[in-house]
Amino acid sequence: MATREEIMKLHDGELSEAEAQRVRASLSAEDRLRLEALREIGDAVREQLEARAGASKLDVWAGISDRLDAEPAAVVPLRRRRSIWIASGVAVLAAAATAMALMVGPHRPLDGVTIESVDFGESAGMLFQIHDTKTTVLWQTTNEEEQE
Amino acid sequence: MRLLVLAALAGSALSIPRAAGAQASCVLREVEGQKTPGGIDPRLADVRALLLGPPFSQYPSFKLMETHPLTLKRGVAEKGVLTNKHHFEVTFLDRLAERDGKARLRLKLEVRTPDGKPEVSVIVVVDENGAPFPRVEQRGDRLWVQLIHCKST
Repeated sequence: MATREEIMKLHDGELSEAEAQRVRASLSAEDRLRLEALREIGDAVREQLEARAGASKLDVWAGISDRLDAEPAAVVPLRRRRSIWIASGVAVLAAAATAMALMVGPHRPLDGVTIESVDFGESAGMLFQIHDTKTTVLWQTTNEEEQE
Repeated sequence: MRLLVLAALAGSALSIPRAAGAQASCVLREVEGQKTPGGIDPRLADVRALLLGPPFSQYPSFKLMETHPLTLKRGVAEKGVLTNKHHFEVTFLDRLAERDGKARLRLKLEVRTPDGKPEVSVIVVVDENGAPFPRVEQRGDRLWVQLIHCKST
């Protein structure tokens, strides 16, 4: 049975080929389900972001300069900066997804749902932002057998 | 006399936000998603756009299972049991400064398995009267979703 960290690194492609082979060989049925769930969510988020990026003309500077004129500077509470830590599940994918979501559309950083901290316990999990609804989703995968 | 009236008005104006800021009125809804056809429960109309978009769109059926109204006092955990026997606690931590007449609320959500193992502990900031915060538990072909949103008190 692989560790949660190994599964996340395998999913993110952060293991060497030898390490990846070793981890793949050690995956239990439950590990494979978790890995598949991570891939499923990652694919769905990636497809959505790629479609959005393809449909819009990505001009970062134009977006920034427009907002400099249109909106006063937002004051971010110190508390938000202080304690953003994520225990285990926020993969590179989630960060990239969030970064892309920030770039490809209008965004007001103090609106919507924001996460200050999260501890996923023993489950695998990830955070991702759904821009249309100004929502950050906390998504965990759980061992089915232990729940039933 | 005018001073007394002004002092009374000032006192009442200050006391109202303080009292209002001491509690929050929130709701935790439990939603089950399945990969079988069934559509979205009409009672989930406010989150229909969320549930129709990816990755939720892989689950064509969403049903509201339970609604837990929560009257939260600052710093006091409100406890309950989900339909899947997991235990939850929601704590109202703080009300952040208003902007454009809209307050933001800091909440802590903790979920434990029936045998007490920590499943998640998250501190989240939501808009009062704003979009709900979704916490999703994917279990095989089913989703268990907890949606938390808060209203003005």
